[in-house]
Amino acid sequence: MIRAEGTENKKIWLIPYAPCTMLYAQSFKADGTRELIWTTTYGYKEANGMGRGKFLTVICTVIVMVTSLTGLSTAGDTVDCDIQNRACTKTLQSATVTFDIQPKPVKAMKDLQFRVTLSGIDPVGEPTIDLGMPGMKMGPNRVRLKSMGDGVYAGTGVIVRCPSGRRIWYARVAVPKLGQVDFTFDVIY
Amino acid sequence: MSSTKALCLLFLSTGFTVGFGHCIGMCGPLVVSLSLNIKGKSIALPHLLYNIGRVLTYAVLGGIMGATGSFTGMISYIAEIQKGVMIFAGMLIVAMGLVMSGWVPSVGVFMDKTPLGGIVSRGFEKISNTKSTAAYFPLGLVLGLLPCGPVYTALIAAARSGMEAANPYEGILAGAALMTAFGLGTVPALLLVGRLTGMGWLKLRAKIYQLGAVLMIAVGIYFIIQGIRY
Repeated sequence: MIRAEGTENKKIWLIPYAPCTMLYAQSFKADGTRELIWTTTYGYKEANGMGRGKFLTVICTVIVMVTSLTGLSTAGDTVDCDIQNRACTKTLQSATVTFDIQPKPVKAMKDLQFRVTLSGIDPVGEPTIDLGMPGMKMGPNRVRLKSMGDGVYAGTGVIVRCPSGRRIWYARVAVPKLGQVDFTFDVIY
Repeated sequence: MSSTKALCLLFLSTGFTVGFGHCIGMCGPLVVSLSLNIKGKSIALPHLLYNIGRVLTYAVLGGIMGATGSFTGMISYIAEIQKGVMIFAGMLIVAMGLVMSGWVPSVGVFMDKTPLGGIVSRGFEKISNTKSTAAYFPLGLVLGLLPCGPVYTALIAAARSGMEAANPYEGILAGAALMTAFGLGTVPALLLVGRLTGMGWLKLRAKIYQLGAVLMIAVGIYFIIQGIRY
């Protein structure tokens, strides 16, 4: 097996397995999660009977599925924000970002009030919150925030329920001109 | 480009990427079950009909969300139905796994001697042994109601587009269009899984087939447990 370091944090595996060569690439994000970029197989079909290429394609697909699921279930599952009990604060460059959700307990599939408080910086544009699950694509779920004055921004959103039973979510707070910071927390189903 | 068109494109691509990541993992076992259950028939048409049914259900849900503009308000009404659908899907997978394994004859899976068992068994027989591939369309309609995180996320966007629409009629169209786009995006991944696992040569390999049956039973039980806990 040949492992090649790609650009930045992408890793590419070349798995030669005569007559099949499997190319398998994953992107490793800064927060420890990973996502599958692409995979493909090359093989040949035998003169009679089942094509070995087909068989290996299936095997490779199963490997990719299993690997993806393993990644989905373990990557980046560290809670760093006790949102059920209190607001959470992190620093982003020179600014302090405080993140809170009301009402508590924070439950999925309910209308929730999201609040971001920025301090230590001059007024900037309105921040946004993108909700997601570590290592699992759930689709774009953005909470739009409006300024309430004094560096406080608030908006309504919903954290959806994942039937797999996983409860760890993150809120990615993006502040214009400053960057973004993640808060990872538990949600009650 | 209007915001609805842009949203549709966004959710078409979201459906595509989510399909190859999330759907294969979560709904893949169900599609594999359907594939392995198709006997002596073309694999493409049943899967196509199943997916059309599924996307149609998404479109109807999107229309409802668009009309009301409220995700949490509407989803509470269908939560119990979704729970039932998840348990039903689990039972279906277990039953198909048992029949596939050959340990239990298809007529014995649901204890035919009881009145309820007879009804369920006949229904299952229709699905598993039907001469018509058309049965996969209503199956898709029902299983489109399976609880699913990315579907919920798309429904939130559908409800939001309804809130921003000038009138309820526009909201229905916007919500339905968005969910149709999302559903269509998920189709290639599920068709691919169905195509790969539905290959005739795979069914002819007894050990792989039996291993598949055991995995299906395990996945079906997982679906039932998650459905009960949901």
